[in-house]
Amino acid sequence: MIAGHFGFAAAVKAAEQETPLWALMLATVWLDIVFVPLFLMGIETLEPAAGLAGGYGASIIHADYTHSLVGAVALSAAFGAAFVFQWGLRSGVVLGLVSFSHWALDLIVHRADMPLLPGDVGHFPRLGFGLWQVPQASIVIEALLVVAGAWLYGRAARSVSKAAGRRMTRADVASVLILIGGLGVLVLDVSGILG
Amino acid sequence: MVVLDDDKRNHLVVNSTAWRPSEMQFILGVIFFVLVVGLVDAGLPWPVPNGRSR
Repeated sequence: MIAGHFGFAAAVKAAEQETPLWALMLATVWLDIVFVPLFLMGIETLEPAAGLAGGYGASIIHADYTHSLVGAVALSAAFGAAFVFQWGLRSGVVLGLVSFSHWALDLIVHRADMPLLPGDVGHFPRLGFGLWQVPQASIVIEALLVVAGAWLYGRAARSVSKAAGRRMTRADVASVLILIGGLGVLVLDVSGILG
Repeated sequence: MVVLDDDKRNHLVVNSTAWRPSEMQFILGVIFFVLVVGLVDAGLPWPVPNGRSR
């Protein structure tokens, strides 16, 4: 899941208007951002799920540090804490929670590949409800997150623009960018045409 | 990237450090949403956190 996380962050912006959208967008994919260097170093890995050749939702993801429950809590807390001094406790908490929302959304779609503890210490049962096994369903959920996020964001952006006596153009452009960008990323993710 | 293991021609293995399509979507998504959408959004008259500058 990539696009759905961005849609969720846009929806949060509608409710938590004091927190900058760019920071919310960064927060919602923070776990994956940390994953990338670990992946390139071979510390966290991917493999096709049994009987599949990879692609959208067809991988077992061994992100045993960034996507373990405790690891996600720690990374999210660190991300939120980094913004407390600049933007205050509320925005810091919001950013930390949005960062952790990544784990919660991934829990729905991942096959059972997310450990409780970093490095899968203790070898407890791995977590994941496995909605990716029904890719059509996960695609619909991602698309709904994008559409809902763009709509909620657009409604809030138009409202603050109107209250400030501004034109609606920028609000409309931003919400359309979220919608088109989100659906575009989803199409690229599902089709794998960049590969 | 899924590649054929030299020793087991019929066995699919993964080169875990190879570039994968999903990484490109991810990088493009981050750049687009954080920088492009974030920049457009920054021009809107949102309330400022704690009255501090962004």
